[in-house]
Amino acid sequence: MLYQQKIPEQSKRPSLKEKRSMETGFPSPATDHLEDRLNLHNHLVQNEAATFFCRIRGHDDEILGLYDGDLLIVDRSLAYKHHSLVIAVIDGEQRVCRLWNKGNRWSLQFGDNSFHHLEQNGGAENLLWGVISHVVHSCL
Amino acid sequence: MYYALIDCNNFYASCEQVFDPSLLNRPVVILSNNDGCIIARSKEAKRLDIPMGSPEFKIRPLIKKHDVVIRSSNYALYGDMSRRVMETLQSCTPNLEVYSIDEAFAELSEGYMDSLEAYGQFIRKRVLKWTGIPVSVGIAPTKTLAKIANETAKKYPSLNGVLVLDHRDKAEKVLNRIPVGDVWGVGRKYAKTLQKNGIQTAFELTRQPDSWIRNTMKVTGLRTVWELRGKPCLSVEQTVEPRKGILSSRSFGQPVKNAEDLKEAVTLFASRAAEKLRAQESVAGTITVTLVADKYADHNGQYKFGISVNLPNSTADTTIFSAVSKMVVDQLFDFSKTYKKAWVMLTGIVPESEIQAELFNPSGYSSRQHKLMESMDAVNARFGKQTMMIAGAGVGSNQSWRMKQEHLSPRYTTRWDELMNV
Repeated sequence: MLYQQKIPEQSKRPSLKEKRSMETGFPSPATDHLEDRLNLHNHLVQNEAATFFCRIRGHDDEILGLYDGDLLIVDRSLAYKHHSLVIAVIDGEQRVCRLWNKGNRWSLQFGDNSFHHLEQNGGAENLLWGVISHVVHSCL
Repeated sequence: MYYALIDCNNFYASCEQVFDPSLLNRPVVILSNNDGCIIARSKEAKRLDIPMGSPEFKIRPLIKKHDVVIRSSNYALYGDMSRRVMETLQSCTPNLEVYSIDEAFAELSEGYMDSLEAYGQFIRKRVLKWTGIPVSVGIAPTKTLAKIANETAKKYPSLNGVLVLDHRDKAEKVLNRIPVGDVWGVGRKYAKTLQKNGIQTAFELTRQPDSWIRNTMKVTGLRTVWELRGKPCLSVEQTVEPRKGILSSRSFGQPVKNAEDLKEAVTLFASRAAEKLRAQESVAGTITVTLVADKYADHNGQYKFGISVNLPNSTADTTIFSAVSKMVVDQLFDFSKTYKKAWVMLTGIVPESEIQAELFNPSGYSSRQHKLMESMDAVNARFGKQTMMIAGAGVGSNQSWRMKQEHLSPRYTTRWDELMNV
């Protein structure tokens, strides 16, 4: 009697364990240790509001390690640092570049190995669109 | 306690400029649905005096002359950017009231930062950095004053986008320059009455005796005046009240597992909500569709899924609400889930009499649609609910849904195949 009463109470709260263990024989020894699957989006996107996805088009940026079709994860909330890979706005166009800092000097290195030196107080902030935090490269 | 009104500068144009920097410092205009008339302008376009609401063909010479950039309204982009701005604001302040697609009220307390001015600048800089959208911040002891502070901050570039009205004399100086009709809550009708009585500025309004204001402008008017004097009458929650939505919802008899049944259900809810809306002679600007999945199927997972759609034109048209609801279901539907409940909510409700007549805009809520809806309601009232309904996908709506969008920019943030290219 006691046993029968217990069953419906249990089935009221289906847990992760019950849902996964379909086997009728011995329960899997792993059921107690089930964890959530790894979520790549959560890993790549730390700040949802400030993160934008962009696509590399063309072969101009291969020197920077970026290939046609690569997906860029740009987190605009990140601070600009020495050696950051960034998107900069040059002549009304977004371009990928590497940010270099030496003393007070900041410069941008482009895919064609040319450099653009940033003015100290010439509104360099307005020139930079965001920091690339990850690159997703498809191998197919 | 202080209130801040954060308002995006030229929001639609700014969204376009974030992803297409070639548009920066250029006059940009955004057209309404069907590329009808101008609904938004960049600050450069405002400077050219391109009038709001004018149809595109009428300003064609001006467009040619000044090389004005034209964009069709890209609501997918504006909606997503709005959400990003609001999320960013939420990271700056604990209590936020999203007031419209591009404005929000926030409660600020002193002492969180060195000064309210610094707090305002912090908010402004963070939103600009994170989202690329420039905002103006008005801070004051009341919401009505915050609104005025915001508009003033926008008007004078020397203020750097932030104005704090924390002292009486500072507030009075600003109120002296504000025409009484521009005060939030006064409205055109009262403005005329006030001007007849020799009251021209917001400051003059604050100097009138309470009894006189109550007689001419009722209690709500008195509240506005108290707010102008710096006595808070509207809290962050209170202003939500009058804009409350119309809700239509029901739990399903049987759990629903396929998209078609869900669509049928939300169409029905949408038509019911629209009926209620028309019964109070109003139109709505936003529709929210929410699907509730079985909470117990996945303990840790999310089980409520909703999308809000801001309609390009406020409407009471059942066909539009149903079409939008179905689109939302298509977006939200997940075949691995079973759904137990759904609801449709209409918000942004204003009296029908208040919507601006968009003469040249064929997608506005026209009198023809209005007549159709009226006769539909009449038939349903006479022969019972749901006698006359929108058929399936809304036969009549299909055509109107396919918009003319010749100058549409990519949906940079919501479509894989339309991402920004570098």
